Amino acid sequence: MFDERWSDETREVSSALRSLLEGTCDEPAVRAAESSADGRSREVEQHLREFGLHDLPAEPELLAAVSVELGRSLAPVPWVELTAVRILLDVEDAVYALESDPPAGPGSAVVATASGIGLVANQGERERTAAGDFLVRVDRGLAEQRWGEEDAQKLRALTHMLAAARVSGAASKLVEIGVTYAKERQAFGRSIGSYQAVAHKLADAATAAEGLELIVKKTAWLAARDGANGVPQPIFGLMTWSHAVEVGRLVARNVHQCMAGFGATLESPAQLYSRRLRSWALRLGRPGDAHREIARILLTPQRRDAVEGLWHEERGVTVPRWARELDVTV
Amino acid sequence: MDFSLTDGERAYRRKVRDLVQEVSGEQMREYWAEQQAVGGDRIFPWAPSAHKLLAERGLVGIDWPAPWGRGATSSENYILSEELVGSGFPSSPVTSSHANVRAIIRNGTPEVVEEHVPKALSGDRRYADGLSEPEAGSDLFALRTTAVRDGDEYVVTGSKLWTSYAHEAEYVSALVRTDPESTRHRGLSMLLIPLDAAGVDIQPVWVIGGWRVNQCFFDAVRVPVSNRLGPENEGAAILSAGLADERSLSFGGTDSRLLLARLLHRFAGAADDLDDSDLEAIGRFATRLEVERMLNISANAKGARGAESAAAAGSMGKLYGSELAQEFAQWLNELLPESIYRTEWGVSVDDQLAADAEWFVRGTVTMTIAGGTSEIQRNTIAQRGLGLPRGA
Ligand SMILES: Cc1cc2nc3c(=O)[nH]c(=O)nc-3n(C[C@H](O)[C@H](O)[C@H](O)COP(=O)(O)OP(=O)(O)OC[C@H]3O[C@@H](n4cnc5c(N)ncnc54)[C@H](O)[C@@H]3O)c2cc1C
Repeated sequence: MFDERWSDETREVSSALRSLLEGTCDEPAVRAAESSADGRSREVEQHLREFGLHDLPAEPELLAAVSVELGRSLAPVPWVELTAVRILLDVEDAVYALESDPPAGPGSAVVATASGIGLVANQGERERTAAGDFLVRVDRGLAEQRWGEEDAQKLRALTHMLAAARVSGAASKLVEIGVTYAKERQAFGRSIGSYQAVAHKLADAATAAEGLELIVKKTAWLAARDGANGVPQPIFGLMTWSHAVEVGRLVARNVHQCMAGFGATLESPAQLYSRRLRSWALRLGRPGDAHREIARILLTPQRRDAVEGLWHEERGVTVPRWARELDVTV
Repeated sequence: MDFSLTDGERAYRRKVRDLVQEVSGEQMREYWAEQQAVGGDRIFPWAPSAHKLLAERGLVGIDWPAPWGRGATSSENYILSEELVGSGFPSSPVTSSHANVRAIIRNGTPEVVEEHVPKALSGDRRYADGLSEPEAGSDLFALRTTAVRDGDEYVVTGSKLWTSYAHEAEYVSALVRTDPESTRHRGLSMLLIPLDAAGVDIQPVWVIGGWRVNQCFFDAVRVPVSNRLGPENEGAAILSAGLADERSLSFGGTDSRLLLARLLHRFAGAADDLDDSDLEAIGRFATRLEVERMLNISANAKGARGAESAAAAGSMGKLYGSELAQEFAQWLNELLPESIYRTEWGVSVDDQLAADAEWFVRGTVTMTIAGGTSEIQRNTIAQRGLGLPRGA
């Protein structure tokens, strides 16, 4: 029997974390962090550390669910960037920075080298992003290679999943914000949520957010199966991440439209979310690159046949006998 | 969280896959010819001999309660449909008749059950869905077909439109107004009307995919009262129970995955023959088709638990899948431009995939309509899922 819900243990952690974040990482806390000198909230960081977020076991489902919660509350901490590095490379206080610059704070950054990845001091000019955090222009040339391509690929895949989970949490919360607004706001003597033009935009946003959460869950579930060692398959990392970019954009666009002028003001929580969704979307490369790589995996028989659990397949992508007999090949 | 199959489910899936493996290219063409001869549907295909084969293999009625079926779980039902549709097997009897017979078993008198179910099990009896009418589509409860009690019989007058399979089936399961004073969902009953009864006239309505649906006219058709399912005037409840069972069916996603899989095999090892925009489209469709499946699985799981969110989840899957299928179909036609020359059924064409892409682009037009339009799905998501108020 299928069950799309997080497991009981995960839900317990998630709901405890949500309570903690509601108390400590509310909207004023997020705003305070983004107007601070380095975009961080030491207080939230401290609470999360005490909660044990930096010692979580390498269980993909748990990590994904935590990331969803951090996204929901826009927690101003580089947990996503730290976690895959801690788990896969066994390095504390180093952040992921393979495609774009690392967030400020942690001591070092993992960057790409000629044929693998290495560490570099997380130092350099800092620039504030649209997400309210700061990225550091590290000197990638100073990194010495410490790990090979295979480690890089695993690191990427786990980061892809965690980053997508963070977008998923933020997107779901933004839909909730839009729905609450649409129930309260009146126009022409009725609540705007009773107009289909508004309601249907929110329905599309909700569908997109739900779909994203589900593909994150599937990716985490596959990564937890025997033999996967807790790391998503690259193709699932790419799919989940590239989909998150699209969903984040769609949700932001639709909810902004439904909230109109008030949603566009700086007082509105909507823009706190939409700015982050947009900024996060640019950090792991362009979705088109991911889509092409997904296609290349699926079009290369050896790589395709190694994919596990895509669609209804156990392995690879198969076609029925009749189609093999009738279809021409190039 | 669990997306795996139990050992039993896996064994059962194996059985379905083995059956599908038996179907050669030539056999599939025979099925198509058989369907085409009866104006059959290419998008929800229903070849009589394929139906018989399913029945022989014990794959009809798996979810019906014992002694008729074995009370298969909703996930098993999902797997059956996914395996058959996903392999192009002409399998609509399984989804369409399954639901109708389930309603018969739940609500029919013992005599009616005894009369219908064995024939349905052996693949000798099929059912069409008679819900929509010319003036009652999305607004189904505006339906006007009446059934007036006359002794042990009802006298049915009116018409049903868009009735898929009515020309192939033996019965239509029709929602009719049994209380003439009633409005909307009150006063409706579900009636099994034999399609060969006096006063039934079935006229073809040809749709864009090149197949036939029907308009069924009922001119004082006499139907035994015992053919009513459940209590009089409570047909709406039977309808909604039936719809709830069908929520996780994919509308176009499963067919799209099959077409994309075939495309991947066509270009296997030849990624460099495709340009960047084609590769991007393939990666993006592969991803969204995974999402579509997960939406349906989620609807299935919620439905099995009786979760309140199941209705909105079902609408999300239907909305997402049918719109995605249209987009995919259009792109596939663009990638295989020769498909514009392949408007035949594909029984004897030189490029089967191109031919199938062509029917898919036409067939998917109806996927955002049949089974509840996209707008109605969005209303359900907004109202039942998000708690937004109804419109004026
Ligand atoms: C190929 C095919 C097979 C079918 N098979 C069957 C079958 O076997 N049995 C059966 O009973 N029916 C069947 N149908 C009928 C199908 O369920 C109806 O076509 C569908 O419910 C829409 O009804 P309609 O066509 O009358 O359109 P209408 O309801 O008139 O809709 C026209 C437009 O108005 C929109 N609209 C209507 N109401 C609202 C609203 N409240 N809010 C927003 N927009 C709205 C619709 O979304 C649509 O865009 C089939 C249809 C097709 C095309």
